[in-house]
Amino acid sequence: MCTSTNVDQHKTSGAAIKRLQQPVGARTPALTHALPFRIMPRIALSVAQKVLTRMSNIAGKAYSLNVVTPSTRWHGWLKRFIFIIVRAVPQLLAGLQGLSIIQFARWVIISPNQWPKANPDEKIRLYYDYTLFCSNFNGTWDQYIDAFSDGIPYMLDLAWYRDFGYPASIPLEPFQRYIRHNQYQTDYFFNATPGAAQRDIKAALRVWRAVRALSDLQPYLDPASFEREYLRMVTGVQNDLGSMGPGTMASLPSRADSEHRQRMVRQQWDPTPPGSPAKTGRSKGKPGG
Amino acid sequence: MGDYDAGHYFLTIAAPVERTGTVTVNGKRRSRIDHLRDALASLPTAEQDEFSRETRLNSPFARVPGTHFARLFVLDDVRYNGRRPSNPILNLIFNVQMTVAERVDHLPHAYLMMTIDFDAVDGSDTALRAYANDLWRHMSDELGLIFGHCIGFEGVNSEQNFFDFLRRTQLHTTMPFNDYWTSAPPVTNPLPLFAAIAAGVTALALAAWIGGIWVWSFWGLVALAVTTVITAIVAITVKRGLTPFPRAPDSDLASVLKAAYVQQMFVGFMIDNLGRGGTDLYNAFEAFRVTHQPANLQGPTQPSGVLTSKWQSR
Repeated sequence: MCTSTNVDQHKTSGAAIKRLQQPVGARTPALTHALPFRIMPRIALSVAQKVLTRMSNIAGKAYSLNVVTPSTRWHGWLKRFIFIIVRAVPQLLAGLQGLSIIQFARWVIISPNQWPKANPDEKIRLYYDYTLFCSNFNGTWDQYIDAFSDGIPYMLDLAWYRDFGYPASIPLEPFQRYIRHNQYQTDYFFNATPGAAQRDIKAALRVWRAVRALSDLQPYLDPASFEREYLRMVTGVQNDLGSMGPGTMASLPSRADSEHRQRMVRQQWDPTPPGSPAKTGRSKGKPGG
Repeated sequence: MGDYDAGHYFLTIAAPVERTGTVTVNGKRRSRIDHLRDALASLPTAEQDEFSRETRLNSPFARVPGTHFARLFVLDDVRYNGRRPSNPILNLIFNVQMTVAERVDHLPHAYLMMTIDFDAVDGSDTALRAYANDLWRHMSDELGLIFGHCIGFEGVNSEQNFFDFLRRTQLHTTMPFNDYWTSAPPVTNPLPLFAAIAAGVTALALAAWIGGIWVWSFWGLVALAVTTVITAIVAITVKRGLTPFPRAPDSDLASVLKAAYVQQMFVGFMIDNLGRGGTDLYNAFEAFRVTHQPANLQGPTQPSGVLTSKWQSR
């Protein structure tokens, strides 16, 4: 069944949202009257915008990975029990925690009858269970897959136990091919702490606790005693004073992707040129903001 | 089993999208999925690099308290991973036709997948409802823009409708993972308990056999003892496996942001006060404490979705 909807019927309002409801082609000026040598760069830019801005796997120091893999129904249930065992014996998670690059991750095993239906009477005919793996990790894709394969191969082999085509986590290259084949690009990714990796957050928590403790202590100390406590505290947290900020750009295409995406965002939500004074409150694109 | 773990709710949503649907804008037809992807690509992101910093916009998710991470992606269809490996000898014996394809799945619709990691007190519907209300209150326009392309979102115009929509499209997380522990988590190893159960049941069985209490077959006693041990171990394993891990101290977003803020401020303070001591240092830290209020979560902090907090040197 194929239906067509006029987007104006959707529950949206506001100038920015209306602009966004227009297709890319409608947002750019007509090109038909332009000279060929002026057309080509604009077409190239439009294509680049469409292609490059379709991927949003990186937000600051975090990369978002989505992998969906099939297995038999029997192995789906077996994997559920494997995950129960892993959680029951938390020592099995020590390797995953030891990597210290994963902020949040999840495995979701989906049976055929669990896929949401378009209507209550719909019959979904699927043969296999699917495992959705979503991870928010720090570093590049290569670093993550390498660290996974080198650091916790047994955990990976349990998590993808008997999934179709799973080649085992070692050797690395077939495993990388498997992940790449089953990976879905993220279309939108939000990270509340983009300037901080998992280790940065842990370091900040240690510093915060030390500063709080010193603050609580200060009213009871004379200046000389306070100086001693201060130096003791600073010595204690000296390895936790790393600086937060943007992550390293993984590659030139990633950089170009981000540049194109933000140009598109600005075009849609706020035409103010870069460098203008900061706005307060909600974005201009937010209706009522 | 694992929507909730360690103080966080792992929300997973799969909202059906009509794969062959189109939208018409200014008389032009366009794929609905393509249009949806374009809308997602154009949604303001957090301040996450030099380019997003220039836009001076922030993600709508930054307005929703307690949201650590959120992601959206379109799952067009599942991927075929090839024929499963099989034993050629068995194939020959059972006359398996390798040229006949195995069953290949196709999803009935595309799905808009959304995963969010947010702070919650537990995994109850009440916790999900509270967050869904916050989502709707803070970004209903953007939600309409995105989920307006999904089947079943028609008529969603209130917090209650939106919560119902989330419940209809929710997938339950099997295995959540989060690690904001700054020290070893207080978890116990169940293996000594398993060993104790095995030893206890063995001792009881031996006593029953030697004391003449068990008058039936010896192998029957062995089977009973083994069954008892396995049942006990499985029951304990399942109970432990389905119990959420304890919440790591200060792992909620408000605390994480406050910690990030205080750390950056303190680094600035340290640099400004290098070489100072005695009363000067004492007074400077007192001013720092009053200004930045390290113990007050409601006091100065880093906003959600920004890279850094800037230290103002005196």
